[in-house]
Amino acid sequence: MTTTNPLGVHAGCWGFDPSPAAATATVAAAARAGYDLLELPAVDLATVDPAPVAAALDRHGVTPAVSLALGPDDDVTSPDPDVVAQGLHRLREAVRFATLVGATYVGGVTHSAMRRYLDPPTAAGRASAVRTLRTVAREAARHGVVLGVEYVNRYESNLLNTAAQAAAFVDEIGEDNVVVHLDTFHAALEEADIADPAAVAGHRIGYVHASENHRGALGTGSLDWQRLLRSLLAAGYAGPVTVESFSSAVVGPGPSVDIALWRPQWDDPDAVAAASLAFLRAQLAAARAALATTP
Amino acid sequence: MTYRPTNKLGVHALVFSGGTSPEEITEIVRRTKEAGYDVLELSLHDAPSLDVAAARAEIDAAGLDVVCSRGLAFAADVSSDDPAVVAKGATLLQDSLQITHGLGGTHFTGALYSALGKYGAPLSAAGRANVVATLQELAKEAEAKGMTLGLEICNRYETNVINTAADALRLADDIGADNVLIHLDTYHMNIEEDDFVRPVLLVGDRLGYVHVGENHRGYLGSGHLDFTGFFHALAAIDYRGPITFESFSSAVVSPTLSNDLAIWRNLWDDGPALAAHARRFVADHLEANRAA
Repeated sequence: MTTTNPLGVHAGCWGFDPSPAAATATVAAAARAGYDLLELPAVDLATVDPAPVAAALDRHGVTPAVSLALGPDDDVTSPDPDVVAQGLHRLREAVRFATLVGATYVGGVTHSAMRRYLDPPTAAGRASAVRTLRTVAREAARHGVVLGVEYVNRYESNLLNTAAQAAAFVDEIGEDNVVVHLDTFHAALEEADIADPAAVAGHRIGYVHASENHRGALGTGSLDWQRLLRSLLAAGYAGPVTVESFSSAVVGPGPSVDIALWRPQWDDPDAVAAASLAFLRAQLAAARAALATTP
Repeated sequence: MTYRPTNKLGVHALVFSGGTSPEEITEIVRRTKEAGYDVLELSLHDAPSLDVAAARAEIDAAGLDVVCSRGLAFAADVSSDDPAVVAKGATLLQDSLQITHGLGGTHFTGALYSALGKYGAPLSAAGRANVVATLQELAKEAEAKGMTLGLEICNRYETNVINTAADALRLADDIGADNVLIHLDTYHMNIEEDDFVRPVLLVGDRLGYVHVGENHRGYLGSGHLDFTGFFHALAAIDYRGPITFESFSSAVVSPTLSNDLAIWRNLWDDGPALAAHARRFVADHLEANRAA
């Protein structure tokens, strides 16, 4: 069995500066480290010109993917229609950004705000999220863009914390271009077994964040990588596997607070990007070898 | 012969009931005893409804030890830069220490150093100095009562003060009191630590309290945590203190604590069955290590 999984890295490895100069440098750094794909946070198209980063991606032969996390002001589960409308606008803008840089994937915390909720989710909030994402998905389909629903841990969403919940949510949206986005950092907190996402949502998983239990460099934590990768490959997953590792040494104060990064886990992004790619390749090769020998 | 662990085994009250009203305390004490535990951990988030003298009488009559735990609040937070907020946090700690003492407990633990919640900024140097000064004072008061304070290491979404064993040891060093010990919790360790062994070895004889909880806070053993490694490490440092089981489900709701802990999912319905199973699970791991 040969793998076709494109291997990616989240731009946040080098920080969250959306300026064309910084983004262009990040594209070069990802290419230098050997990645096929770079995940770019959606920018505000009113203030940032996407053309330079699009050109850099093209120049370096790096495939983009786009991500975003909704916030309290554009939460599609909100009871306030204006807030939901903001969420719809932000999702549409992310799709527009994707088309401008040549990405065919937009994923992330698209289903609720990435925030510490103080109450359980409501049926009305969930229905609002389903409706909104269905609208965005239909529009995205016309541009050949797939929409990803990333389930996150209990501290970042009250709506979707497990693959089973995310799969049911995707089914409810009912559009072919909506997929489950697995992030192993969140899965390690919420899932009984790191092989469960593949077992319960295998055919719906369209994007994977490879992240350690503590979001440090891959391989330095407690995540059971062989169990994870064997389960995904056995389920036929051939989509992107994107390294996500952040350190407060590199990430600015705003995003650090958003994702609760209070300590520097490493300080050289180029070194971490290269080491994480080597680790991922070796782990994928081992998983493939193990599956090839399974009777 | 049935193995009797040398560590005292405890259970968190929220396995049985969401509040600490007199009726709920009666239920909690009875269930704790029935499940075979030695120690009851009471969260003081619901302290106003707690009848301390009545609860103590029930706990004593059942022959249980009690440990109290809590986190602070953003309006009463000793890690704040604002002296008024720090003072409120210090008062909350003193009141809680007094309640723990009144219940007959000798161990007061938890996020005694910060609010239990997602912070909007990193810990400041002034905030950290306020934690150290406040806990130095509290440690003196505790010492006069023959009591111990625990620094429970919590994950990044619950505090910005200490997320790892290394962080906690530095804080304890700065407080510099012999009755301030480290409290490890396997649920938080899964989010922050590299593994389940080295933090235990690092803390060593400064470990004063242990929470065992699954990665998703459900049935012990139903998740993916390395309890084999963890209990080996406890044996390696010859840990003899309490080990308390902690689990939360939307089936048992505390009006205050459930949302603070982001408990959105139903992971079990039957608290007594869960508690009895966890008691066996912990005792079996301890027995296996004694034989090793």
